[in-house]
Amino acid sequence: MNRITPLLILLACISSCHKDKTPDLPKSKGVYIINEGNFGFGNADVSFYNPETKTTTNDLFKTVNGYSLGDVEQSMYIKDSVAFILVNNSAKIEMVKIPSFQKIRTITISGSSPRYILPVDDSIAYVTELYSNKIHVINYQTGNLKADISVPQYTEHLVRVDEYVFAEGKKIYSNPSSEGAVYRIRIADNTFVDKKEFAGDAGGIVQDKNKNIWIALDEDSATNTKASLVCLDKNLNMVAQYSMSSFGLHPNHLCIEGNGEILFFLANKNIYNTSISNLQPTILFTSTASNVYSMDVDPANGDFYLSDALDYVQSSHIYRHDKTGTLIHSFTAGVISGNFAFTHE
Amino acid sequence: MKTVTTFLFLICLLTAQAERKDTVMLDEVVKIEKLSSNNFQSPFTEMKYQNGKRLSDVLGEFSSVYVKNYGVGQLSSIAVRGTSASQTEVQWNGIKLNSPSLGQCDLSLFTLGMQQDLQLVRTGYRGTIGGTLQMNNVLKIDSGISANLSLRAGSFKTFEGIGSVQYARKNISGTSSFSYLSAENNFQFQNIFKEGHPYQTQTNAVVRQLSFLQQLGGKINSHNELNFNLWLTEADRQIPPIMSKDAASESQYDYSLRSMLNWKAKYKLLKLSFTSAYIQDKLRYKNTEALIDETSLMQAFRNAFTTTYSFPFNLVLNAELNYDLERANVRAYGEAKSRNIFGMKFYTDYYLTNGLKFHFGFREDIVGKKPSVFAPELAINFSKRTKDAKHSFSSAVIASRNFRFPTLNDLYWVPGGNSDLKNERAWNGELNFKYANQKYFDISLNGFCLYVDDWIQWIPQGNIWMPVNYKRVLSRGFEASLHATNDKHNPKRFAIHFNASYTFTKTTNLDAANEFDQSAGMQLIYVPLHRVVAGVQLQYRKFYLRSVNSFVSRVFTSTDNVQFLKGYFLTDLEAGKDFTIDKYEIGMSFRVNNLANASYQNVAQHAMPGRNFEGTLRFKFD
Repeated sequence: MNRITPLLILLACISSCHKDKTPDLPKSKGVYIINEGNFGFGNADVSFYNPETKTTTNDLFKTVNGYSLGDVEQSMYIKDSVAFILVNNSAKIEMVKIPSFQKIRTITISGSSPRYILPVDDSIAYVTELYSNKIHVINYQTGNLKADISVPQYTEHLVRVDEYVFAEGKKIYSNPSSEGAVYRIRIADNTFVDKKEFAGDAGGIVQDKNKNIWIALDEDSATNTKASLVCLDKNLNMVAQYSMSSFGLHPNHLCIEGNGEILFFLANKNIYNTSISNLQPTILFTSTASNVYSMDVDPANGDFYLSDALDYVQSSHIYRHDKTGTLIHSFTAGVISGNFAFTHE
Repeated sequence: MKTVTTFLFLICLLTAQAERKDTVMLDEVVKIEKLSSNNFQSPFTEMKYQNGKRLSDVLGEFSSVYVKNYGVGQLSSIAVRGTSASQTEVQWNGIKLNSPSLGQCDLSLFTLGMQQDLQLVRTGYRGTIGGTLQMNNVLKIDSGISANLSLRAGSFKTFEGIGSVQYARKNISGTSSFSYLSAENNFQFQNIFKEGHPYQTQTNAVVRQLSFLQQLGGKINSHNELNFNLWLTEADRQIPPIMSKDAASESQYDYSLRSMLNWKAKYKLLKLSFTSAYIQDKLRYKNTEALIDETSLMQAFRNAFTTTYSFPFNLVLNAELNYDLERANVRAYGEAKSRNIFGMKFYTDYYLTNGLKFHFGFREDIVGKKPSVFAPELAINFSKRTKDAKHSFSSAVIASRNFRFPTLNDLYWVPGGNSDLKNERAWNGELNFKYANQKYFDISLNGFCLYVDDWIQWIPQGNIWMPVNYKRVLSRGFEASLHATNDKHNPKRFAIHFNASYTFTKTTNLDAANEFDQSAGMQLIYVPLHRVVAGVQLQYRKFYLRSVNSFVSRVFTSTDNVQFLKGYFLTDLEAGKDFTIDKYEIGMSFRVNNLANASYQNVAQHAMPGRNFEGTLRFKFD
């Protein structure tokens, strides 16, 4: 035993050695990168990228707050000096101060799987949900669940136009009869009003400068429908529609530049753009990433941020392109970078 | 079905031969590690002290093999030499138990003691890429009536019991075994995923398991023998929340029926054996949060016909034909899926009088209409013993080609199932040495290397996850073990036993997807580089005090080796006494598990218990 003990101690020392790094915490405007992490691994966190200095800080939440963020971070929403971080498989929303990232409070919605959040006033926010057909209404000042709004299917992104919130309804693979949709919610009484359904699955929803809603729709082989872009007004009337020229295009990660004039979406590895007034999507550039997992556009300057999840079990690589598609910089973030959030102050 | 029966009958007529189990000589070459048995070997691997526990909980104590464990009573699997759980085959009396849909076995559903013999083949063996865990039932002939009972109570309202009655008279023998296990698992743990790292109590972790095994065997005449086995297991388990979640409402119900009929015949130098087994696994998963309540049914009808002929000039030929029908009814497949597997194995052993032995053979399978790679196996073994039998030495070099077909989930899961998948292919190599001083100690060293191509991995492709032949993996390392005592054969009034084994496993991915992919050359996730088990037992007459210590080095949880789970030490301490009164053997023991109250995770976010206690009572009537 005397001989084995030093060996065990040595092994323990070897296994526990790692370098401590002094984090470079964000003090300015920049880009927050939402690293989902792997389902069940509990390795979700947030990275911060400073576009001016081109520096990155990883593991921001754990570094500042001393505990892990949780399991599968879906999205982050910034409202003034507060950020809401939705941690899907941990059934919680962490509220933190921006830019210090210090925790304000944890909002737990028992039995939920929160996806996206949209504050509708200074205390109330809507939260979409993966596991059930409802949108949670929470009071984020108290952390309490106020109500649930029943909707036909599970929902993802939210946008607000005047007195309504529009939710992106998702198709469920295990339910062939489900469809992509837009659901209209009236804020005044937290009520589901009506819906617009489509054959293909929804791939993102944004609002343009005219207060119209744009939705990207995937192709649907059952109805032989090509992928499309659809524009609706706030009463869910069709304003415009563009069908893709061929099958095989799967538009997703729909986003819009800061002026609300140019739409962008990802299809395969190509980044398309089109003006809302002249719908002619063309390839702006093609990504060299091996597994493009996510994309967004900085509304301030039109820079693109694309994540390459590589093998999905290692740190993602992030590509930053300018608005013409020229690569400016690339850097490493966390595991499965799935969303971006931008600050401008 | 009629066609299948006719085919099997034809095989019987054509091949007419022997004894599937009688591969003792081959076993010597491929270094089967006898993990545990009811025959005395070493106090650390004597099964009677641990009977009634889950196999997954004790494997890591018997050997330095790594057990991946999702929590107490939850999904557990072994990975040998850096391979995956689905590359490791679990066999019951030589019949494969791996699920046709998942490809792996949950070792937490097996209770130690239901089988009398437990062995691990670490190297590629008869076509298997990873190791082979063998659980064997052995019937005693004409040994009268005997009975065993083990009862255990422990922390967290844990109750375990296993009882068996063996009866053997003249040409008929049988064993009836029953086991029960229940646990609340409401242990305290430190939650590092919560602010301030508070201590909290585990929830939704109640487990209840039952199993029953009936063996019946008999000699029909001086040449023929017939054996029947029926094994039923049932488990009702709550699935606790991951550490970053407050609560969970998941549960899983497993029910397995395994039946087996075996015929053996021996005619001078010829041995024949035919085994036909039906394995059924039913799994019901419920998640009230996600509104999921799904039941899956997996069935396998496995058949093996073996013949062995021993020539008078030290040559042994062994041939085996297999036919398996696998079927799974899983909701995500859309409809029930099945496949036929035909297999052929041929091995030969040649013994020279100077201690040299040559082994050569091959395996070839056909799954559906796809043939496997041709899988040869070659081994040379040398063993020598001094004239006074005080010292013995053996060494072997082994090389083999192995493969694994995709599982039914890999092929048919909707969405994502990929019918174009190729089978995984591997080259395994091993060099081993063993020296034994018959009185005081034995020591063994194994060096190994294996290369796997077309490793199957599920990765996202657009919006869905899909299995693809993703990468090439190289695994290499060595294993060392030492057993020592103050006298093996003449136990003194005071005895001391020492046992240690160490495994070094370097398993790396060989390919990078692009210049930013940092996984090339890095250790695979959940493969510890170091694993050590060391124990010491002090014994005075029939009192004993035993300490078992294990160490698992950190395991990486990201393929770029940036994220990891910390390594951990565990120490267990056990004190006990055995009594013998006439024909009765009684044992009592008290054990402290995780003496140092270590806080650790074996799998990310799955809490493990701290210090806990158990008391055991054993009865044996012979």
